[in-house]
Amino acid sequence: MVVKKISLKNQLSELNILVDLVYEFGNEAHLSSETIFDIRLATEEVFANVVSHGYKSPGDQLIHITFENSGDDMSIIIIDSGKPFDIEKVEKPDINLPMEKRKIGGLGLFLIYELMDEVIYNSTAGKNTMVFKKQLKSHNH
Amino acid sequence: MELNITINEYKNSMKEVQLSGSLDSNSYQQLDNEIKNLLESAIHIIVLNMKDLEYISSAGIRVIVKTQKALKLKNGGLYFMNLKPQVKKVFEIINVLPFMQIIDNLDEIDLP
Repeated sequence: MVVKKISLKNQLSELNILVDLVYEFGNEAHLSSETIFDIRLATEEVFANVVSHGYKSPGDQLIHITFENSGDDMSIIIIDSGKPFDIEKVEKPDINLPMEKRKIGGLGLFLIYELMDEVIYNSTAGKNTMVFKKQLKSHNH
Repeated sequence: MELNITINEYKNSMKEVQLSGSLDSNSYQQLDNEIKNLLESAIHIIVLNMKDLEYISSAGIRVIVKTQKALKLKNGGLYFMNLKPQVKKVFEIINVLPFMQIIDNLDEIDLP
């Protein structure tokens, strides 16, 4: 079992630290480069969402992120204390429209749902928790 | 993990924008600024050469969608070259591949 934890400030410039940790986790857990890419993308999308929409301005509020794998699946847990959001109310992008007719928002969450097998969101007492789960294909070494 | 942008003059109404590295929440602003400058000029054809682009997230896609909208208004066009498989996969998930003009080389573009 590989577990990696990090607490990042609510600033987009922290993203590079997060990406380094994703690769560290992925390599130690022997994940395929495709799976590492998916984890990187889903994690960036949620981190960027929390930083951009959860707080009034960037600052020193902490966002706690944990990666862990056990056997055939892995999970990512993201905890923040920003403004909660109503996951059901986020408008789904219409992916049948030509590019120039598309709306600019809503893509991040859409990507997360496509890349992960399970997405659980919970908000209680000023604490928001997002959990992603993904089945792992075995990776030969 | 940073983004590098190189802009090549091709013909007078067209520029090739070469991207390398990561187009993400932390770097999209760089591309947004470069494209803003191009859109203010007489340029109406932009080619995004993604030969060395290793990663793209929704922040990068938003810049691309914005560019496509702006070029459409200018009666111009946005073209794409050399997408890596993992970048192509992101475009595939959001189903924009059928709407993208993907070319193998710059000569394929008909300039007026």
